[in-house]
Amino acid sequence: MKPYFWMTDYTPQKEWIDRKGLLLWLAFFLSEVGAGLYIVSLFLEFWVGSLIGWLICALLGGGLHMAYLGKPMRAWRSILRPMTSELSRGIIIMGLFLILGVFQLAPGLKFLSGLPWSMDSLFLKIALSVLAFFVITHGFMTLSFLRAVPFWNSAIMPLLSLASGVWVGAQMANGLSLFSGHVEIVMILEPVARWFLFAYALSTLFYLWNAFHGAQASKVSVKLLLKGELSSTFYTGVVIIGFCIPLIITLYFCQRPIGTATSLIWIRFFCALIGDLALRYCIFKAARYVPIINSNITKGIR
Amino acid sequence: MARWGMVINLNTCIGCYNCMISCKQEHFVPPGIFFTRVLVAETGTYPSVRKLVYPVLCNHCKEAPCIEVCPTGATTKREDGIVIVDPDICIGCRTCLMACPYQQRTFLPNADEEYFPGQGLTPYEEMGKKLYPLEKGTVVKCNFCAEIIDDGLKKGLVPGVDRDATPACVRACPVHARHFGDLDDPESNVSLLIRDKKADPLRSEHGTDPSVFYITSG
Repeated sequence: MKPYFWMTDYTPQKEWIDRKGLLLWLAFFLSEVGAGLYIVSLFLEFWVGSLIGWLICALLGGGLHMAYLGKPMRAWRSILRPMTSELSRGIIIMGLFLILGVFQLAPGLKFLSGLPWSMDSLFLKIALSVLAFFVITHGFMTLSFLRAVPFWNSAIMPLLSLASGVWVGAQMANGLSLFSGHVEIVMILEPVARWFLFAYALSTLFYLWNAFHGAQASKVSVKLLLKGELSSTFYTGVVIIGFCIPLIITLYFCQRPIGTATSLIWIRFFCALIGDLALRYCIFKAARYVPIINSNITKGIR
Repeated sequence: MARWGMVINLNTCIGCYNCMISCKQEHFVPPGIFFTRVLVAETGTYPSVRKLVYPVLCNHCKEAPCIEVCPTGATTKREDGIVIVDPDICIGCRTCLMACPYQQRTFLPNADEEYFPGQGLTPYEEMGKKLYPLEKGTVVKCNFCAEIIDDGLKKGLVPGVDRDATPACVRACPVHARHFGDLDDPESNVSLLIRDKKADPLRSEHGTDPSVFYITSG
């Protein structure tokens, strides 16, 4: 370690992606796709999907968030500053989402069938939709509030996370529907999936375009993705697996009925998962801090 | 109430790293962690190359982004402008670390790391665990030697003027490149230096209103 070369060049953020930081990357991803699956399942009245989404969000997302913390036993303290801290707001929203989710899911369990409210309670549906929306955007919203990282400090971040959360959530709902024999849900979701994929691709492009034309440090980040050390991950994971393959499959289903090739739905589901995970990895990994010394290095983009 | 600040004269600094070492000694900072650093870089093209030497530390910003993002309130600003982290409240989420545009915070993953791995703690390290215990799993940073300032003030001493009330890095500087004092007092040594020598903070475009200033012009 050379302490004298600290922040003399565009410095990568490491705390939220390297070593234990990988937990946070996964935690944000799982919370988002869990909430995405929940919101899609809620609209389709697909109880199993809602349950799995809730479990992904609570056990995997929440668990990994806790595992990442240096002092997980004090995690409750993170709800104390909602007025200024986006992280605090996110934790409160996630907590409310999980609590209300229990109320919504409970009537679906056979041994709790005598409860005085039903799964179709309009209040629960509206409240959970709103909360799931915020849970989906929470991760990227937290990043967008960090002004020190120009690549993340973008108003498009929440939009991107919403598009990706719903897209991946819809694909998970598709996979689960096939698995549980509810092919009719796949039929309903397919036309919508096209729009989700389109919105996801468009928001990704818009985000990168905006970052490239923004601050110098975010331009450096975009260059890292397009032709730097992260280009192989970006092109393979995000472009080919995340967008091209799902696009080809989606176009295929525009011409032929869904029932003809269910294996393609599975392929698209896995591609959507891997692609979104890769996109998040790239966004986390490409983040750079502005150097604090105006040296030679900072004059040109390497 | 005073607002403590520092002025570092880059024309005087010789890049000896004494501030870094004295800080480590004062706070018993574990291996690989620095509350203050001396950054080295180059500018210009051959043959007109200039070596830049910048001692950096927490800027104790007036508009500190680390305070804003902290979800627990562990990072706070004292009345005298010193930004501190309460290790008993910090949950180690590292959001403050991400929010600091100067990257002057460090997560402490292991408080028991030895300077001589496998050989046990030195008597000095053992003493540090008693005198200045750092909490594992929390974020640590420079606190402008707040304990020294507080002790000094109780004795009626003036920080920046009296050695016993002045941060360790300022005391240790062999060429008096570092100056400490009250930024709110227009007649303090630091205010006069800022005014007369036109000292500027680092990367003022971040809009954090730092309390550490640098004299770059002769």
